[in-house]
Amino acid sequence: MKKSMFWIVALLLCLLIGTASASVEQAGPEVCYSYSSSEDGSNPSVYFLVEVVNNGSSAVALDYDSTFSIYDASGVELDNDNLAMLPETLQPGQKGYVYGEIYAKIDNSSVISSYKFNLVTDTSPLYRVDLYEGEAVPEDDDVYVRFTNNTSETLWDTYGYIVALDAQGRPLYINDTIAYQVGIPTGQSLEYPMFFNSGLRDFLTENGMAPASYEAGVFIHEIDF
Amino acid sequence: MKKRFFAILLAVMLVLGMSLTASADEYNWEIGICTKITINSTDTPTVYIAGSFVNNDSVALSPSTGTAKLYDASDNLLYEGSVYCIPSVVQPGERAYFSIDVRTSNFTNPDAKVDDYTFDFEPYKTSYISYERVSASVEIGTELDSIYGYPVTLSITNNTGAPMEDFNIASVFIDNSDGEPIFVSDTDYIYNRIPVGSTILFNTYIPEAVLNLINEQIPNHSVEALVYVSK
Repeated sequence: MKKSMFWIVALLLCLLIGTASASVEQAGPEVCYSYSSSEDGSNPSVYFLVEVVNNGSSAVALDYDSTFSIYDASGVELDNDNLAMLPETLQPGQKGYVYGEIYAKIDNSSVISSYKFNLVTDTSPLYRVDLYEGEAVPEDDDVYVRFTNNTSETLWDTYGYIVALDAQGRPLYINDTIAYQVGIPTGQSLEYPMFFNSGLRDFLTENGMAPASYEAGVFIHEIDF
Repeated sequence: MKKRFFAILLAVMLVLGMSLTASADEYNWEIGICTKITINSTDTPTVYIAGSFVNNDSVALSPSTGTAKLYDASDNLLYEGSVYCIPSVVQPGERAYFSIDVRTSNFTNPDAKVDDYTFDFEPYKTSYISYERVSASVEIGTELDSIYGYPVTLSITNNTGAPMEDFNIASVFIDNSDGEPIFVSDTDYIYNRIPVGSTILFNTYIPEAVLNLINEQIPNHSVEALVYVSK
C-alpha cells in the first residue's frame, strides 16, 4: 500500500513538474536590425527574429504580452510591439520562430541604441497546428513555397511560410501567407508567393545578409476546443 | 490659302481629339437583364441584384467601377453604391457579371421596397491587360456555413502548360430559359499559383435563403464557374 502510494505521488509530481516547465525558450541568438525604404532613413522598420523551442512536456503558445522594445541612448523607450510565433503552438520538443516588426516613427535608426525582448508563455494554446514540409522555389527577387498534399484528405485554408537563412543557417526573416478558401486535394500541389519588401531585400543584400537558403513549409491552424 | 490650311488643320485636330477622348457613349455596350432577389425571412433582410455588362463593340472594354442606384416606387433614392465586374476587361461579344447585396437597414428608408434600380458604367477601351477564362467544374456543397451559406466549390485544373497565378474567381447562377444571371457570388482574388497539371478547389458561397428561393422559383437553372487569369 505504502509503495504504491509512493509511486502514485511520484508520478503526480513528475506530471506537475513537466507541465509547469513547458515554456517558449530561446534556442539561438536573436537577430535585430532596422531598414528604411525612405532615402533619408526616416521611419525605419525594426525587425526582430529568434529561434525558440518548447522544452516542456505539453503544448505551449506565445502569450500576447510577449513584446520587444527599442530604446535611445538614455534608455528611454522609443517604441514597442507585440511578438508573434510561428507555428502558433509548439508541441514538446518542437522548434519555432518568434518575430516582430516595429514601424518606428523616428527620424533615423541611429537614434536606436538598444532593444529588449521578453517571451511570455501561454500554457493553454488556442490553436492546434499541423505542419507540413514544403519546398522553396526562388524566382528572381521573390520566393514561392511549393507544397504537395501527401495526406489522405483535402487541406483547406493553408498557410505557406518561409524562413530565410544565412550561410551559417541562422534565421534572417520570416514570412507567411494564407490560401484562404482554397482546398488542395490529395496528391495536388499549390504554390504560395512570398513577396519581400524591397527595402528589406536591399538592406540584407547591402549588409552581406542575403539569404543563402530557405526553410519552407505549410501549416493549418484550427481552434482547439 | 493660309485660311484654308488652318481650317483643314483645325478640322483634323478636332477629329483626332474626338477619337482620342471618346466618351463611354461612343462604345456599344449594354446591361443585360438583371435579377432582383429580396430576402425578408432572416434577421438581416437583404436585396440581391445580379446583372451583366455586355460588350457589343469590336474592341476590348473595361467597365471600370460602376454605380448602382436603388429607388422606391416614388422614385426616392434608397441606396447608391459601387459595383464591380468580373472580369474587369470584357472582350468583344463577351459579357462580365456583377452583383450587389444590400441590407435594407442600409437604405435611406429601411422600410421601403426596391421598385427600380439602375447600373451605370463608364467603360473605356483597353488593350493593356486581358483575362483568359479558365474552365472549372462546379459543385454545390451540402455542408451549410452558418455565416456564408452553402459552398459552391469550383475545381480548377491547370492544363495550360505553364503555371497559372493571379485569379479572379466567382460563381454565377444562370436562368436557363434566357441565359441571364440570377445570382453572382462575391468575387475573390487568389494570389497563389497552380503548377502545371495540378487541381485546386475554391469555395464561393450562396446564402441559404437565396439558394432555397432559386430552387423553388427558378428550378431550371445552372451554375457556372467564373475563373479568370490575367494574360
